[in-house]
Amino acid sequence: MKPEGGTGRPLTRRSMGRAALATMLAGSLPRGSARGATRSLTISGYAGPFERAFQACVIDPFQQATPGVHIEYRPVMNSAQSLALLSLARTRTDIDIAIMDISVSILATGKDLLAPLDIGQVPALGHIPSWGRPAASHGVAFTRDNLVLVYNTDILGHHPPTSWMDLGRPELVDQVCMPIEDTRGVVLLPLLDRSVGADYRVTIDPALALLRQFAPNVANWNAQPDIYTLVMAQTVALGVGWNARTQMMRARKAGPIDGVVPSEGSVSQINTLNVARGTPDMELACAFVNHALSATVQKRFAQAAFYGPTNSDVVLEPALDSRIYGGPDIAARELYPDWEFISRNYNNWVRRIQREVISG
Amino acid sequence: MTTRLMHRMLLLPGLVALVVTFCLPVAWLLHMSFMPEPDSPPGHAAISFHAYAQVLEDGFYWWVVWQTVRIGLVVTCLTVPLSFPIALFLSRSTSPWRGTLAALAVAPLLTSTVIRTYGWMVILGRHGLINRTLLGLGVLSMPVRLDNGTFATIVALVEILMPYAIISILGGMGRLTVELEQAAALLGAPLWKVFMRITVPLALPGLLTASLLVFVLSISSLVTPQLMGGGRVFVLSTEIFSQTTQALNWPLAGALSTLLLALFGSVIVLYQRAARRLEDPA
Repeated sequence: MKPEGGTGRPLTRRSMGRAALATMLAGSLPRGSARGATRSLTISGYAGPFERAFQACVIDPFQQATPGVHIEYRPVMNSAQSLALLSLARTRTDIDIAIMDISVSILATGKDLLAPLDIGQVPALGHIPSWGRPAASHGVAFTRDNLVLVYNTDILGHHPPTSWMDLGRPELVDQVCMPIEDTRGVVLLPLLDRSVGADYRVTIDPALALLRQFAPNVANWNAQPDIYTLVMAQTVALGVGWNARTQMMRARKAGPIDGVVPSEGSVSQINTLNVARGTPDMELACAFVNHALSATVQKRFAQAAFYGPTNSDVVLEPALDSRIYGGPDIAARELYPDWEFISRNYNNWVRRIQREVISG
Repeated sequence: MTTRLMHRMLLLPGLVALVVTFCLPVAWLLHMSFMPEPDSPPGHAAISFHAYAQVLEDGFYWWVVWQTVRIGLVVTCLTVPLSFPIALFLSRSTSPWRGTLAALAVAPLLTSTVIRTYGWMVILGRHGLINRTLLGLGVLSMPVRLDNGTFATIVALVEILMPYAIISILGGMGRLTVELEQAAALLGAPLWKVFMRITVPLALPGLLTASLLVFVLSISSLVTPQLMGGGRVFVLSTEIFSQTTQALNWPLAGALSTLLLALFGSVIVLYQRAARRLEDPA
């Protein structure tokens, strides 16, 4: 039988040896030689649906438009892992571009791991608002994604959540999932603080007190495999998660799931594109960043993956805009936090959540 | 080549493997634990005790160590007694199915820990087998939380570690013969006395090895506390994982790993003392 996609020749010890040798040689070739490409970039970013959308909407069109260029996407667990790769690669520069949460991008900038970008190299920077280019980061905002209440429409469809305070609804004992030992928790604290009139730059005690009030409802502080699966499987009825993934699941009709931006507003997690300092092909890296920030690519990515575009020229269809931002009234209540302050306090806040809320 | 030299040469591959796969990583781990904290300014001292000071001064880490040891002890105290009857049955069985039964007892080892842990999530979950059965029988009016906590972690660890305990106990039953028990019974000893005075003492080497193995595997397990703990179970392994992959505080992760290694070391010393006393009670 002819092997699928093969030449039809049977595998012999010699042919297998040749294949192994070819594989070893390919591994030892300098970067840029893959698929006959003369120039190459390696990008580290989130695994899963983000990776698939990024490949289809950003990488593939760039490769088609730029012959002789090969882009490799290296999926990672989270932004911290990208930062670790950048730190390890300080001397070898394995990663050319890293997609990271803005708070981690600020950390990487502080460690001198990133190259600064200017409008001469990346003209699209001129279309990114100031919140997408904070002074403390050399990264630039690629997408934004709101923290939302994720809920099971079969259980809560008749009385959907509308406020962060719904996490403490008395009828939801043991039916809430709050994976907040990461960026979700760190951005939830300023939101909860604001909802009771406090300022996160002064104290996060009121927010922690609110989380302790919600604690009896929490079945799970560590969503495994993820909050979206738990909600769809009715393991929990309500949780805290990211809007884009929720809307992707909903669009795919993966299960009874929906997300809502609470009436108090939300915070956008900003995913940034960061060029590694010392990347061998700075010109190509800048061209890629410029391509990723272009209005066409940004709109395509928003349509495919429900991430909010950062290019101010992009105009989304009203229905999609509402799915991403929750409507103009709620979008107006969006909190734009001081990311430098958050980045500085990130680990301490996670520690306080662990100690004063979860194990308390 | 002398026989002595040849014996030494035979040791060489094993020694090289041990140095490369154990000694060097542990040395690197120790080195990492003395690195300055991640946010320290450039030009800071090359060696720092900050991570150890943080572990020693922070009550949270002592609590985490206590949680780790407590879960390890409970799992050991449940796993070994539950595995002992199975091992005893397998060692005594003369059935032609003995081999099949022994294979079945250790068959769970062929399945990934992750899959077995997910299995327990299905059984203990809010809409899992136990809750549904109890609700169906009218014993409960509302589902109770059996998963996402220490209880679920212990239940899953006991089941996951039982095959290791069975193999260890079976391996240590060499001195236990049926004739000794029959002799005691012929001299008028009741069954319980035969069990307590003959069976258990002669199976002690196996029981001790099983206890050591189960305790060590239990305190070093990561996947089961992560998946079954629902974020509520803080043990050394989960804390090391979080410091390595999220906080990126590698010196602290290194210090916690060194603490875990010290814990292993202490347990092995205790085990060796107990084993020596068993060999030579005087």
